[in-house]
Amino acid sequence: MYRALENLSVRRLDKYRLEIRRQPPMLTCGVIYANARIEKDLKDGNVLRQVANVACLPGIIGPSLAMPDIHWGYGFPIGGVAAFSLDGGIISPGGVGYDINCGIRCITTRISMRELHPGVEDLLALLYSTIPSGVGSSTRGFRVGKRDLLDVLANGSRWALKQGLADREDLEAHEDGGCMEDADPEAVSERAIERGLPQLGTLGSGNHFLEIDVVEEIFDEDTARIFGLFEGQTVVLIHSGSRGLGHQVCDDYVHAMLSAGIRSGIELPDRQLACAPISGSQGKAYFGAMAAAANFAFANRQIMTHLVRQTFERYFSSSWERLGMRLLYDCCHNIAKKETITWDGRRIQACIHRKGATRALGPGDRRLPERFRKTGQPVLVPGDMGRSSYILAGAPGAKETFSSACHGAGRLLSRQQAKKLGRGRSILDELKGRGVHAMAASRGTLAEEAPDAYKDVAEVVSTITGAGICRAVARLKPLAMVKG
Amino acid sequence: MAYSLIEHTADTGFRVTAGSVQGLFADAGMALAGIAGASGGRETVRTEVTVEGIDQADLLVRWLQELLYLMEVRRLRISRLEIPELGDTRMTAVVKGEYGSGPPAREIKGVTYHGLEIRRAGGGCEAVIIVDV
Repeated sequence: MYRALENLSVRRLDKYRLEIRRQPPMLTCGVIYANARIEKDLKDGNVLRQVANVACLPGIIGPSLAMPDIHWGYGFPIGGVAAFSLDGGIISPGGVGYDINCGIRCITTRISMRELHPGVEDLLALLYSTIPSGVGSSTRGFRVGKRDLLDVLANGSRWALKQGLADREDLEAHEDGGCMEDADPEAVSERAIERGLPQLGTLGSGNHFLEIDVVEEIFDEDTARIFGLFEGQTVVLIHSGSRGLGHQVCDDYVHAMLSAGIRSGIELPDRQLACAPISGSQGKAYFGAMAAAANFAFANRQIMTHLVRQTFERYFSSSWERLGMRLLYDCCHNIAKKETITWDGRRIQACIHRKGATRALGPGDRRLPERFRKTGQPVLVPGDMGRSSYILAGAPGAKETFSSACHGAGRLLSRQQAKKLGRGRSILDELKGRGVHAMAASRGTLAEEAPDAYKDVAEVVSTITGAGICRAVARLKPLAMVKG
Repeated sequence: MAYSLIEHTADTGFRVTAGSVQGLFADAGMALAGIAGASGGRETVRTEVTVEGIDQADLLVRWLQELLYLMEVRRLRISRLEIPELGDTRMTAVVKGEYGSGPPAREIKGVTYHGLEIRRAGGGCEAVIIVDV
């Protein structure tokens, strides 16, 4: 039974899925992955409207999807996933977002929590002083000129390999081997390069973080072994993106596509959904520039990985190889990718937009490195600062989401609401009470990012695993973090 | 200057009201600088900005993005904004302020078009702007 909500009709399909009924001008229905608890947080009609708006875009294949960490964004909802045919479909910079290839990676170690625990605050302080974080944070410890930056844009983490900041196994643990081949540095504006040049190797601010976690519980021993995970193990998470360079690429192409679209009479439900045919010159130029920004983000996270390894080496007086600091996987969040999908029994070349969602390839997918072919792709789902994070594996059911899953807990409160709730409280002390040490460039950011500003990640994970999109492998507990 | 923050789950939004569209553009710019923590200071720098767009809503976004660039890359702290020329598809502004020693206190990734509309009512006008933070 459909019920009306903000002029949209929504019905529950099963325990984990809601459907927004197709109605003109929607070209398809919407499907939101939400259990009953998550559904309660969807009372804000803006987010449903955004799922419906995406369903109006030309060339969409299958439903307009939203992952269980869905919340109100701009253009696409956060958690939005949509596939568009390469033959007649569009690409939308607003469907990727400003922070192109914002993403997360997990570095495993051989260090147990017991070995780390007495000095975790000292290690945190070292990391805080080594990894540039905060607003407008600038590259530290090395210089990058424009020629180097163009190399980064073309080659991503392959550039880092040439510089001795990565090894070959690191590259295998990236989506696309750490380099999107279609990158076109010439499609990136001078202004974008100017914004990105001083920011390579920096964390940034907002919800970006660097975190030390302990593996608290293993749910799937066999997969955990292949992922290199064990209970009591220390791991490191890094969450960052393409910094000012990506922001500017998004700006440049939203403007260009909006102008061209209006000239050709395209009506959009929201201007932030400005788009262009992916096979046209503007669509191709954006894809090339976006891929270049994605490569910047890969290299950015890889440089920080190198800095984290160096810091651990200093702290433990041992090499990072001896410390077992392997990159488990690097997941992209805000990105458009050309992928072959199967829909209605047909194999279709499509451009998959993931806005605040992560890729989740199931077992057997040839794009995965050999060691993950049986398990499916590692899917990293960070929670909030005080509760758990999860490591999942892509499952066969991910075919229905074009191999996509949730990227985090998802915000519940606006930043203002979070700040109001935080008045008169010391978030740092509260975190300490939960056994979590934090250092932040800004106290305001800490309040905005307080644990109660987010959904309970356990609900998000139980929805995505219950729906058969992913399998749970391990739960992590935060010990220490640097917030931007 | 009259602006108020509005609730937005992922990002930050603000509502600006003014007696004229020119005033709206100036106030929206000062609101953006205030949210970024890059407002105030002396008037030691004067720079002229020209923006073109497809209509006034588009001009407003592009104008605010120019200000973001000046704040983030040029590290300009903004003390006063004047809009001597504002048409449907082109505007000129004068930005006054001083160069700061660091970036703005708060990072704003972009100014979005999401839900943007310039509404005229009761002899004045209003706009709601969502920025990605």
